[in-house]
Amino acid sequence: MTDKKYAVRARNIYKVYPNEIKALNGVSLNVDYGEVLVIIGASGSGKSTFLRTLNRLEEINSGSIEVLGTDIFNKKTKPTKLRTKIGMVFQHFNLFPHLTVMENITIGQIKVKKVNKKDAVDLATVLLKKVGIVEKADVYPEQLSGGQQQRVAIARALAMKPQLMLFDEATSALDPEMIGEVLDVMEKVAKEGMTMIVVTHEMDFAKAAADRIAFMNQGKITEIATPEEILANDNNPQLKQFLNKIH
Amino acid sequence: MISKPAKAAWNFTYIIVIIGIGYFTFISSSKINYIWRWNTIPSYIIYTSHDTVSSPFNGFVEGYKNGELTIKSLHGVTKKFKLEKSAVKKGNVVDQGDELGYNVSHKAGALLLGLLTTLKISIIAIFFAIIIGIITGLMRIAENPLLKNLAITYIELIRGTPLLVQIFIFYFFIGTVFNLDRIVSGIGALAVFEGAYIAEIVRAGIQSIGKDQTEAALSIGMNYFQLMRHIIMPQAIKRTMPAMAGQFISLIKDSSLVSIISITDLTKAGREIVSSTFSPFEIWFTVAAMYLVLTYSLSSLTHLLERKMAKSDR
Ligand SMILES: Nc1ncnc2c1ncn2[C@@H]1O[C@H](COP(=O)(O)OP(=O)(O)OP(=O)(O)O)[C@@H](O)[C@H]1O
Ligand SMILES: [Mg+2]
Repeated sequence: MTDKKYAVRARNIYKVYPNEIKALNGVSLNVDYGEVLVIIGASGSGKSTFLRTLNRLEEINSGSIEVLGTDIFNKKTKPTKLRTKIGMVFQHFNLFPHLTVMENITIGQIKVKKVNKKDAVDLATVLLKKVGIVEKADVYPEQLSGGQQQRVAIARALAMKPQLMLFDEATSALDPEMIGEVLDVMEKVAKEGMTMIVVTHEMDFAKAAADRIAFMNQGKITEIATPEEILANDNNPQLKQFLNKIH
Repeated sequence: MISKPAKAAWNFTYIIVIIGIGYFTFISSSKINYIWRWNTIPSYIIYTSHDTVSSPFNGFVEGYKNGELTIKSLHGVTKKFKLEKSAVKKGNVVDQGDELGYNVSHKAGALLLGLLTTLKISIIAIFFAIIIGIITGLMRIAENPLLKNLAITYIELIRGTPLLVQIFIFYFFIGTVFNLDRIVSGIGALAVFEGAYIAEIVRAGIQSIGKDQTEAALSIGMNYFQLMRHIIMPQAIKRTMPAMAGQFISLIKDSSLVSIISITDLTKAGREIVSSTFSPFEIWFTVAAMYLVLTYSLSSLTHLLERKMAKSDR
């Protein structure tokens, strides 16, 4: 037994969807504070499901998960409270179309955290500068390119001052020329010491920013190691096949 | 695409057809020896009344100047009256109770009063129908079987029975049990009836907003109420505006059925006037036109709102 503290500590989690699909078959994983973990794996291997269990968008059938020191399935843990500490970025951005960029970033602070409007706008402005689109504060999402929308979505998540950020294929819905601008923002966030779990197939990002890469296959993490070790791995045929396919 | 001149030709044809229909109506009515009395109709909307003023004592008229009549009693008390038309002249002797003249005022006729009642009933019923509709619409999509089944039962019962029967049940049963005023029964029946339809509109509107929005809102820590209030409802309301407007228009028209429990709305006013005059055609055409004014104003208003909301997204 150690008393080392982890940002995420998942023990043997199983998840079966109502349609009997076994999405997670015993996933165990520790993520250090400040670590950037990239998850790779074929379509349907359970990457999204795993991410979504961490902020309880998905319930599990068995196992246990501690996030930021709290047992998330404990009866006393409020999902809403938990989620303010975990930022999530989606493949399709999921911005609120009826709100301006500024409102998208401030609504969580104002309505959930009860921050006053001025402070919320100040923080949002800082974040918009960080993601490089401060001039778009007053437009609606539909007027933005995909890359810009995703950067707003990252700012929206950061506005809650999370201690853990989850990215689920944040660049796979983007046109190739916009992938770079979003990855740059993600690297910037990583460099500031944020704990991140990133589902992506961008191996260049993984090499540059990840501390470790986990490979998922059929609801299990079958390899987890540094980027160099994963890329050099020769004895996991599924991993080899997967890496060949995405290159 | 139809070319511009062709369009003008069709529009012209449209006018001709409308005139033709009007002419045909006129010819048919002259065949049945119907005497049109349109001149009596305006007085059912607005009429001028002559309010006569009579002398409070015995005396004589001192004079009438600038619409003001002055009379002096035998005891030397003078009194002034504002009169639009004087019936007496300077020096006339007047006894107590004699007519001095009259004032003219404009009063709402029976049809206008009926229209106002219809408007009042409709507005109150729409207000409650929206509340009922939102609550049961949310219950309808709830996971809890109790809430869900209650909502389904309500919606099916209401949509499966005629409004007229529901009005009778409301008036004769619920109204008697709870000792309700007839107008409360009428408004209640309308609100409960339209609420079931609004519930379905609300349900469809909420379900048309993708799961993505819910997940994004949950992921920043919103609870169910905040999610509905700030994310789902604003988008759903905008998307359901045309359907909602259609439902409100239905409600205005359906409200004519409450006349059956002796509420003097526009329809009942029409019936009363028809039974005391010999002008059913004019009255019913006028009543129809007055309903049209209400419904058309409402649909124009929603078009305006829709355009404004669309702009706020640009
Ligand atoms: N809501 C759901 N209901 C039923 N089955 C689901 C649901 N979501 C995912 N699944 C199934 O669970 C399995 C794992 O899906 P998951 O989305 O976690 O995979 P993934 O690794 O993220 O795949 P991708 O790369 O395509 O995003 C798949 O077989 C999928 O079809
Ligand atoms: Mg996925």
